[in-house]
This record gives sequence, C-alpha cells and structure tokens, in this order.
Amino acid sequence: MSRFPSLGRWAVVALLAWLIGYPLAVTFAAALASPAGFGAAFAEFARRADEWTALGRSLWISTATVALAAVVGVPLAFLFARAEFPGRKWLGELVALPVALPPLVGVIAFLYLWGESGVGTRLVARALGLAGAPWRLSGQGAILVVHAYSMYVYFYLFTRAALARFDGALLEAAAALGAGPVRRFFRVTLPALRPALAAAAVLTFLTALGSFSAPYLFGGSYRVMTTQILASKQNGDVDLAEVETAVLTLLAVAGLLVARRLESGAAPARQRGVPPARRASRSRLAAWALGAAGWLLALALLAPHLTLLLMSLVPRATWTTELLPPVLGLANWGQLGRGAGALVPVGNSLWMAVAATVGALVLGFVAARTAARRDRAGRAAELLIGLPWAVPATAFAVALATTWSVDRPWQGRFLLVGTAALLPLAYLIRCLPSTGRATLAGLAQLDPGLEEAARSLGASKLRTLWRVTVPVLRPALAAGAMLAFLAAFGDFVLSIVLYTFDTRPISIEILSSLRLQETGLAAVYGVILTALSAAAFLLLGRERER
Amino acid sequence: MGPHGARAWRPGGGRLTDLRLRGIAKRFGAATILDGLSLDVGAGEVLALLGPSGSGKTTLLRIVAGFERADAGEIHLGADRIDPLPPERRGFGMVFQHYALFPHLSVGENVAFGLETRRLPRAEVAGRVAAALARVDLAGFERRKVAEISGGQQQRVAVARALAPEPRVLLLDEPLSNLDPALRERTRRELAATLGAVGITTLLVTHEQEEAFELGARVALLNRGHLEQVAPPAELYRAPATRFVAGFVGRASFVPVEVLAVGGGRARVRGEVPGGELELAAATGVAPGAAAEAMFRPEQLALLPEGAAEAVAGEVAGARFAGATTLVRVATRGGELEVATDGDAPAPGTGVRVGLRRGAAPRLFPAGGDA
Repeated sequence: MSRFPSLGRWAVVALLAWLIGYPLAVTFAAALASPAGFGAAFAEFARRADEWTALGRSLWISTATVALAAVVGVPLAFLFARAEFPGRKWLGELVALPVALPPLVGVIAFLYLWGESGVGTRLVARALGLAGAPWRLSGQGAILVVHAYSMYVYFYLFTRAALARFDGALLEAAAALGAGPVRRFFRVTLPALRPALAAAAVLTFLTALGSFSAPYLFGGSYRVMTTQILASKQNGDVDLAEVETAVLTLLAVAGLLVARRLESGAAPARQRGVPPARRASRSRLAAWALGAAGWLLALALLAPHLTLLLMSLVPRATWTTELLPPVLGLANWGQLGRGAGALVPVGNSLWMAVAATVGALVLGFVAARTAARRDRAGRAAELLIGLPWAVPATAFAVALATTWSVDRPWQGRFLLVGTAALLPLAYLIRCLPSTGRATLAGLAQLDPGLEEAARSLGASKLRTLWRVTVPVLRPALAAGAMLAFLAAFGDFVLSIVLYTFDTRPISIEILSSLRLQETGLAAVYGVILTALSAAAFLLLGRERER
Repeated sequence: MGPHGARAWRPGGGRLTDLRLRGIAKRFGAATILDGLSLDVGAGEVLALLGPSGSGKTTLLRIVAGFERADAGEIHLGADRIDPLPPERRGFGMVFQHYALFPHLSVGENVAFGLETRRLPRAEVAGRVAAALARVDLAGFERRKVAEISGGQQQRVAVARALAPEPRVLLLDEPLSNLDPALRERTRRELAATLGAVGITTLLVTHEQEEAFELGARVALLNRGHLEQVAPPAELYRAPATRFVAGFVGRASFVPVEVLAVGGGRARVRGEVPGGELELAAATGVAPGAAAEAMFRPEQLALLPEGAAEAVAGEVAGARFAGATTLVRVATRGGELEVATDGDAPAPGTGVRVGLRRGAAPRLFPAGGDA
C-alpha cells in the first residue's frame, strides 16, 4: 500500500527499539555507571588479565573456526556441485543437516561419541591396543572440532549456491585464452566466489564468537567471553558481567561493520549463463571411490546423532568397561512416563517455541512491512531487525536480565525476571531476524499490483492483508517460521541465563540430567529435541516449497 | 447522496454514471506530473487516455483509482464526490498492466474475489462467476490455476474479474501491452466487443495509438501533465489542435514557412511548399511574422511529373514499402517530406516534384511548440 501512515511506521520502530535496542542501551549504561563510580567496572575489566585472555581466546577461536570451516565446507561444495557419483543428490541434502540441529544436542552427541568414554573413542583405543582413551575431548582443540563440525555448513551452502549461479562459459573463455586448470581456479572461479565466501566467513565468525554450548561443556578452565559472562553472573559479579556483555557486543558489531566494508568492496556476482556441467568420473573405479567417500562422510556426519539414539537405549549403570553397551532397553524412555515432571520440559520447550515463533512472525511481518520502504523509519527498522542476529546470545540474555529485573514502568521497564514471560520473549527477539528478513525478501518479490487489485475489488486493507498479502507471502513466512522455531526450540544459551524452574526447557533438562550422571535420560531428551526439530524442518520445509 | 459521497458505491450498481475530473494536480518534488487537469468521461463512454511514456497518464489513472492522492482537484462520479474515498469504496473495476491475478487462487476464486464482500448466496456467486467467465469466452475455466493458462487467457480473466462486481466505472491500465503483437490485435477486438456489450463507463490508459483508436469513442491526448486535445479519433487525426498532436498521431512532415496573413482560422504562407504559396487551416497562436510550420500527412502529398506547376522540387532520399502504398522520403530545401505513392518508389537521388493531392487540407502550427 502506498500510504502506510508515517506515525504508524514510527510506532513500529519505537516498539522494535524498546524490545531490542533498549535492553542493550540499559546494560551499557549500567556497565558505565557502576556503584564504585563512573567507568569503574570498565577499569576493573581492563586490569584483570583473565578478561584479556578470554577476549583473545574468543577472537582466536572465531578466526580459527572460520579457517577450519572453510577447509571442510568449500571442497565439499565443489565435490557436490561439480562431480557426479551415485547418491550425490541425497547426500548433498544430508550434508547440510547439521545446521538444522540444536547446537547443544550436537555437542552432547559429540561427547557421547568422542568423549573419554565415548563409543568412538573406545573403538579407536581398542583398535590401537591402548588401555585408556587416546585423547581428551576438552580445551580449545575440542571446541574447534565441534565448531568445524557444526559451522562448515555455512561455507558449504554459500559456496554451492554461488557455484550454481556460476557461468561455465567463463571457464571455457579462460581455457580458450590459454589458462590451465590451476590458473582458471585462481583467476576465474575464486574471484567469482569471493562475495559468497566473505558472507560465509562473516556468518561463521559471528556464530563462533557467540558460541556457548561447546566452550561451556568442553572448555573447562579454557574460558572465552561467552562462558566468562555466565561465570561472572553466576558468581554474583553483575557489574563485571555487564561490562563483559558490552565488550562482547561491541566486538560483534565491530566485526559486522568490518565485514560489511569488505563485502561492499567485492564485485557483485550477477552471472548469466549456465554452470559448467557436472563431470561424471571417467573411470568406474573413481566414481565408486567418490561415492564411497561421500557415504563415509555422511555416516561420519550422522554418527554423533546415531550415537545419541544408541545412548538413549542404554539403561543406567549397565555399561562400564565393555567396548559396546551390553544391555539395550527402553528403561530411560520409561522414565518419561513415570514422574509427572518428566514431560514438563518437553511441553515447556514446545509452548515457548511456538509462542515465540508466532510472535516473531507477527512482529517480523510488521517490521518488514515498515523496513520495505526505504525512508528513515524503514532503515531504522531494518537495522533493528538485524541487531539480535549480530549480538551474541549470551550478551543479549544478560542485557534482557538486566533490563527486566526491576519494575519501573515510567522507564519502560517491567519486572519479568522470574516470570514465565521472559524466556519466550527472549526467544521471540532472538528469532526476529529470521522472520523479519524472510518476510522482507518475500515482500521484495511481491507484485504491488496484487494488493491494489484487491483494493480495487472492494477489499479493505485488513482483508487485502489476510486474503492476498499473507497467502502470497506464505512460502517466505514458512521459511522464516521454520528457522525461528528451530532456533527457539533448540535454544540453550538464552535459556541457561533466563530460565526459571517452571519454564525449564529441554536443553536445561539435558544439562541437569548430565550433572546427575543420567546420561541415558539426557540422550532421551536429546533424541526428542532432535526428532521434533527435524519434524518441524520437514513440515515447514514442505510448506515453504508450495 | 451527499456531496462528499459517504455512501458512494452500492453493490448491484451497474447503472450508467459519468466520471468527471476537475483540476487534478500532482507534483513529485520539483517535477510537475499533472498540471491541473480536467476531463469528463460520459456515462457509458469509453475514453482512451493516450500519451507517451512519462506524460502522467498512469499517475492520473492511479489517482482516479485511489492508489495515489492528488495534490489538488476533485473527482466526481455521478452525483458523488469520490476523491476522499479509499480505493475499495470507489466501486471501480480495474485491469492491471500485468493483470495482478492472485497466484494462490484459482481462476474462479479470482473472479469471485470482488463478490465476496457482498454476502451473496453461494449459488449466486457461482452463477455470476460463470457468467463473467462466459462473457470473456472462458466458460468452465473456474478451477484452473492462474499459472496454467496462457497470457491471453490471463488478460481475459483480469477483465472478467474487474467486471464481475458490476462496477460503475472500468479502468484499464495498458491492458494489452503484455501480449505479443499477433495476439494483441485479436484480444483488442475481443475487448472492444466486451466493452460494447457491457456498455460501461471506461477510462483506458495506453501509449499505443491503434489501441486508443479502436477502443476509445474519444481519445484524450496527454503530454507532460496537460491535455493537448480530447476528440474522436478521426478528428484528432484530421484536425489536430496542436503541433504535438499532429506529430504524435499518425505520420506527418513539418516545413517551416513565413506567415503572410491570418484570418478566420486560415492563413496564407510562403516557403518551400507546393506552389511556393499556400492557404491552409491555422491552429491558434499563428500570427503574421511569427515562425510557423506547415504540416502535411503523407497521403495529402503526391509525386508529380517533372515540370508540373504547384509543386516543390526535391530529391528522393529513401523509401519504405508499406503494403498498399510506398512511403517516399523526399529531401527539399525546406526539410524532408514523406509522400505516399501507389506506384514504385523512384531510385534514391532521383529528382522529383511534390504536390498536394486534390482536397488535401494541410494545417499550420506555431513553430517551437512541444515536439
């Protein structure tokens, strides 16, 4: 509609600013104005060697993760985009799966497979004839391995998409000009991939910077900023936690700005033509080798989750030193039916994720509608929708906990900490970039004539929205809803900072089961989380393609 | 109904109403898009709004439809003033350039869309949808998907959808420009037949002269936000009011001349025209001594035998075969003249003489007008 009243548009911006920008601002202000004097907490932060160590480690882990993820993801993308082998299509989809699975579950599954008493570790130790585990899954090495496992997908997906748009005639032109395969790769293919690689690097860097589950479970004394924030908060050092939050947020936003600069320097890769044809391997042997490698890879990628399933079937204290569990049964699953409270976390996760997704859909739609017009209100709205994506979740959680811990209505602050409302609200805000950006992309492709046609046929604005705009945007909305639901349902980071006993989600229950040595029960919850996530992925994914 | 038309449109309308635009003005920043324009469309009349791209015709249509607001001016529909109303309460049917068919609805649901707000019994909606589709020769297409039918069929669905609620006015925005040329002519004839059968007050926007001439009883020619002339097609062609109209509608050659005398809507001129001196019909603004241009249609001119009097000498510059006639471009000292001839064109470089055909009525315009 050509006239979205200006006042309404600014009201949307104000709502977004209150939900997203305001908590960050409150936290920054609180960090500056600590009880010991203005800026005292920052000075304290600067004095402490462990803070600088954590900061340095966060940067190092993020950078190293980018490199590792690229090393895994880019060749994989080339393999699936350029080569032909049996099972390629099916495997190509499977390889992208880790992105849809909750990070915490991935970490736990990794622990069960490659941890000191993991199935995989035992197999390797037996094969090598060792008495104990050949490695310990802890410290930076463990964090990096898990990061590479879960984040190579960004490089894989972005590179594959870029290769699909790549014009094969460019390679033929280069070959006709006398360039060999190596020269073609470095002078033609790689420059064309630059924007995609840059985008993947930014996404990986920011995800790694905000990563919490892996450092929390494997880090031990190896602290990065995200775990440092939680430690400070749990030690009651609230001022320090706020300063750490501010520093991490600034770091993430700075990273985002640097990345934007780098990206804008890259040539837009708008290509015409068709990508080079897939090359079926010349010899049967090579084709089989490629196929076998692909299947092994898929197995390796799925192994952690298969291990999780296996562990959910191992009754408590029945597996000690044997290579494989001697007893399998449904005892752990039976525990769900016994106690009345056992299913509470599943219900909690479901209702909170659904509420957050619905809220994020509505708010994201309104925000995207505002952002679609490129005036000042529109640009402000777009900036605000992007913010929860750039700011690490730990930092956001602390900001929300700080802001909603007091009841001062005249400041626009209400007491939400300790209520059931805070966690779904946090999920909602965290999911807003998913729904908002998806809607924005859908709106960009929407023919404005459709809405005008509906109006000319006598439909009111509301009716036009309901009968035309929303149905036409359905695929985009479904895609956004899917990402939002997966993020909210599998969330661990926001939950561990903001949960109450009554609202404890599955991820928190997994953690407490682990603490009680209930590995089987933790695996059961992990399987439930994974299965429901996969169900949502398939259900909304189908909707998206209609 | 009150002067502000609070209850402008009532379901089940369909009676003939006239549409009157008064002083419609629109600016975007410093640019004037519409310059206080007034226009009447008679009850049941089809008026074609013709103009080059950027003339403001689409903006005018969008203002009439209610998608954009004019800076000044009023729109009246019969006894009601409708410009303060939102689009959905104006009761107009509209056919969009790209049809804007709802991709998530079937053909039948698209046509029924405008009937849904009426609370009609289901059977009646179905009946009206069937009738609307039958009118555009698409009977039985109700359950088809929009993406499954051809471009020409989509265009007809768009017409059926716009007409189904029996609007008081039909607005057509370049309704045929999305079709390939062969299909366009057939669809144009069908549209003309449909409009004739329904007899609805219609405002059509187009940049194609043929479309305006076939569909419009009158044609309003728009140029840079103002109306140059509103007249039936033949009058627009034979008696263009301005040099712009003469140049935009049909083919024409212009020759700069000296004005000797003006009076009674006619003028006497001297220059590189057949015979050297000529008396012709003069447009307003022509004055003795002021620069002026004589306008000739190709069919008003003829190639004459060598030595003929009442002619102007020139040299053949080129020719284009145009079926029934051949258009010969003749370079004279006063400029190039386009001459229609029944015979073969002389070879380029041949010296020829150009004269006026009997009964031809060339016209005179002030020079330096809108080109």
